[in-house]
Amino acid sequence: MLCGAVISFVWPVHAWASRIHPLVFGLPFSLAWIVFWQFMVFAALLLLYRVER
Amino acid sequence: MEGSGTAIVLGFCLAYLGFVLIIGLLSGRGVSHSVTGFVAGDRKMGGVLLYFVISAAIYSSFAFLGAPGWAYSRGGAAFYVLCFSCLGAIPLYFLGPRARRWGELHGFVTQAEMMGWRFESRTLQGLLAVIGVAVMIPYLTLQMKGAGLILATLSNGAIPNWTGAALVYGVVVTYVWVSGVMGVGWTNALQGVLMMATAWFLGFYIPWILHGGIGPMFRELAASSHAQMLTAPGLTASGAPWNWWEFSSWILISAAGFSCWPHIFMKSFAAPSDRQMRLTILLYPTFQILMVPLLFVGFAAILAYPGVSPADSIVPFLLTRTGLPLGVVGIASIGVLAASMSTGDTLLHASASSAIRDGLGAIGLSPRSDYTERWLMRVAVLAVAALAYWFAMDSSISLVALLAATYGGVAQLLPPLVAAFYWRRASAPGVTAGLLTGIVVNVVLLRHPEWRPLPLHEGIFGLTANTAVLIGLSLLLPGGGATHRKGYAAAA
Repeated sequence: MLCGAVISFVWPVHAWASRIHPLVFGLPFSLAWIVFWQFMVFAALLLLYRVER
Repeated sequence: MEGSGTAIVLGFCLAYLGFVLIIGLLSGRGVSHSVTGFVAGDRKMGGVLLYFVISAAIYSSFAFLGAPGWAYSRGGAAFYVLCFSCLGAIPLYFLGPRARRWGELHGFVTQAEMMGWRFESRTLQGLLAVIGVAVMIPYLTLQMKGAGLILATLSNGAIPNWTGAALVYGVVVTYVWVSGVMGVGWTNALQGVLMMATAWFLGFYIPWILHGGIGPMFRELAASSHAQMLTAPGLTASGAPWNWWEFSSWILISAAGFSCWPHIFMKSFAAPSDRQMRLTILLYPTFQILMVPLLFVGFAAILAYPGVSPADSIVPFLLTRTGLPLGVVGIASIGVLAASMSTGDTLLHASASSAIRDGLGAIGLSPRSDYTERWLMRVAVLAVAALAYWFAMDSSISLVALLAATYGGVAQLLPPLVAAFYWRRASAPGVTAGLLTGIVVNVVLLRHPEWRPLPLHEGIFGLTANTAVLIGLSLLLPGGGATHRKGYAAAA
């Protein structure tokens, strides 16, 4: 998931996601995409944190 | 704003500064009067403090002035800030607890000191100290300028830049001098809460009064001629479309350098346990998400107030010229000041500590006693503050050029740090030469962008050269470093 976040933020994956429509919760898709991956990074670290315990 | 309004808002700011000063002065009482107490809070900084000391230090006046300015003038280019700040802390999740263990075993309080031990090289320790101080001082200077600018704008020039910066940083120097890292910690907690409150409030309030909400704002923008600004990579500073090469490589370089900043990295030494350090980084996104509402502020102004220049002044412009209620202006101004101070205090404290611990250590002049060292660090706090203030007031020194070099420069610290923990064979010659090569490549390509083989951030080329030299020379000239010692296995 961490690698997924890196890949999704750079070209070419980000170029695919960089569009206005569909609007997600009122945000352009491009912005919602980044916010989604921020949650994914959080989830990945949370998972790691639980496993390491 | 009218005269009386100005007075009320400035009253808010002064009351805030007074409050921060009191908290800062009281906060050092719980730790020992030793260097470890002054620099690393006796290695027992609690979870809440550690969270704020790291998070609030990361978000500076750039977050509150620069980033909304980017959204306003360059649209989706500002998404780059979201991307790198999301990725940037990840290395610290892995490196931080390891650094903490070494710190506890061997008494380290700075990044350079730890690296000097790992590679058994005073040269490397000195080099890292020089690089660290060289990148931290321009950054501190920028925070001082930000503080001066906000007070000057709010007072319509009645408080000139130099007075405002001196006032705000007088407070910062006082609490860093008295309380060291605990002063930084407790004030950052207060400043962090204010920053979060301000960012979330402005992020919803400004789009609401200008467009009737965030959804309607984006729909209006999407239907306007500015629709292109809603997608990455957005625009360049001159308004032409930005390219994916630069957008992507800026994210990677900024993310690589993020957790290497000495003032952020060395907070690992203040953590009481590995678990606490991991938990802090795990929770950091709850703070980081405040960048999203801050970008809303910039987007809200695109259609409502076109043509404000420079773009960085869009937030002060919205605060002072658009008839917002005075309470809102007051609280938002405090939020911006808090952002400047919470980064400035950490930088000041870290650069002074490192200059004494590593600068003097590397040339063999380590102070004889703990008492002397702590005292010298305080003097260094004054000296660093004075130097940064002088840079801030002397407009003939090009800060922008200095700062541009720092982003690519700090990223060069990542390969040595990763190698220190994860590659036993990494040797002092390899790391030192790699670091120097990376920095030289970075600076040369910054001055001659036309020499870049691809239109990527110059730091990428520096990083590639750096890693290649690090690996190559380490294989050719293996030096055991600290890998044979007991402490190495305990952490890596």
